[in-house]
Amino acid sequence: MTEDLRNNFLRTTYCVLDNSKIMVCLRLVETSMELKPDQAVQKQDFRQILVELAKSRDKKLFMQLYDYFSPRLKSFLVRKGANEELAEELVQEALLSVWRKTSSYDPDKATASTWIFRIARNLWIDRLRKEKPDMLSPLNSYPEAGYTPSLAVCDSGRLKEAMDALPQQQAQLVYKVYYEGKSHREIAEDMDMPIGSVKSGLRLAFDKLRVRIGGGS
Amino acid sequence: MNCNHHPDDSTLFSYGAGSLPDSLAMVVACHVAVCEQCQGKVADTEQIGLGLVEQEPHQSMSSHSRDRILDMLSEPGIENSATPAAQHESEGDVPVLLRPLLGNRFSNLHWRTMAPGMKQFILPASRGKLRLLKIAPGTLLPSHGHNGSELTLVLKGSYSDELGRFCVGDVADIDPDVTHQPVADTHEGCICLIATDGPLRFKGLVPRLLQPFFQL
Repeated sequence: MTEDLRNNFLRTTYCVLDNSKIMVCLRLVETSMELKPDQAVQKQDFRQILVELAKSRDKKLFMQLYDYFSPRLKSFLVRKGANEELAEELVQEALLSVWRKTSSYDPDKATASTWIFRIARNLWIDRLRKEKPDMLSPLNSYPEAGYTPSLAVCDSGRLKEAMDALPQQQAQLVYKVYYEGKSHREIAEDMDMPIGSVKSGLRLAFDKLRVRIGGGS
Repeated sequence: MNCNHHPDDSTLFSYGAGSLPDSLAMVVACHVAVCEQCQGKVADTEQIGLGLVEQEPHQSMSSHSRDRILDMLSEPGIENSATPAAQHESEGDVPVLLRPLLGNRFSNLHWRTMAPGMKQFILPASRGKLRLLKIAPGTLLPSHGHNGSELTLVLKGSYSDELGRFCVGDVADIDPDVTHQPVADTHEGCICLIATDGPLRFKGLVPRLLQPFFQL
């Protein structure tokens, strides 16, 4: 990306920010520039699309997000244990929330995909809670704004390498958390090991994955 | 907020993945809302989650869903139906996240006495137990261990136990093999939000006998 383009992008997108925040944005833009060109453009576009959407309310633009994210969110939710119908319902609900909340999206605080993923995850947890018949009331207010940005833009290839490099048991723990949606206690029962070992295995795995994807310290 | 005690990384990892039981997730959410350090870690778990989602086949939506969402975008009122957080942001000592459930002030809740110096208020949770515990100054809780995970977040005052001193915003993420005996250590007493996903194990006979009555 040329200097001009980048400045233009920053001016239009982040015109309200002060210098320190622009530095954060620059780092984010540069992180995404390290990726393969098409990927970088894609991730950056989503960020821009969200910012644009807040102003223009352009439905066509929104449908670009929808087409990209809906199958991904659906597979995420089905993995978590939602049936086909519920998964689709939650995907629709999540993306409608995205449409409504674009004005509260802060490109300085989260990547577009993180933000959208977070909305879907919170809806899923809310839905679990609502299944209980004696619930007092639904709770839709998990923290969304005010998040510290992750400077790590996850490169799927690098993550795969990192997963492959994990000892088998740690990889299995990660798999059970992300793909099977299991709690520490359930994993301990499944794998016939103490909860303490489940937690320490996950801690180690998390550390390694964070280092490999460029987050963490 | 500067917190001294945080959820374990494995807990943040599962929280970010959406795999913590909702009772535990609520405690983590309340802590993460005020702790920048943990916000950064949760953001990392989300990036990992996205990367993992990329590595598997995506599931396409059924054919009519695209048209349906387009219709919904055009529905009148859709723009204004966002849940405004602002209505909960007035004065109060209850964390903003819990206000839809509890109102703004702890003093307005119908606390249930469990023992001298100990009151509780049970919150809804589909998996695990979630409760507020109010401990009068100087009160010593019965020594106990756990059969699953226990997460405790201090909302008011502070307490001390074998693991250290816990102040507002701090989380105790306690492994099952740990036995502890908290005591409220300031004059204002202590209010905690506690989630467990397995029954507690009390050492004394009397607490054990009372256990079923208090849903512990």
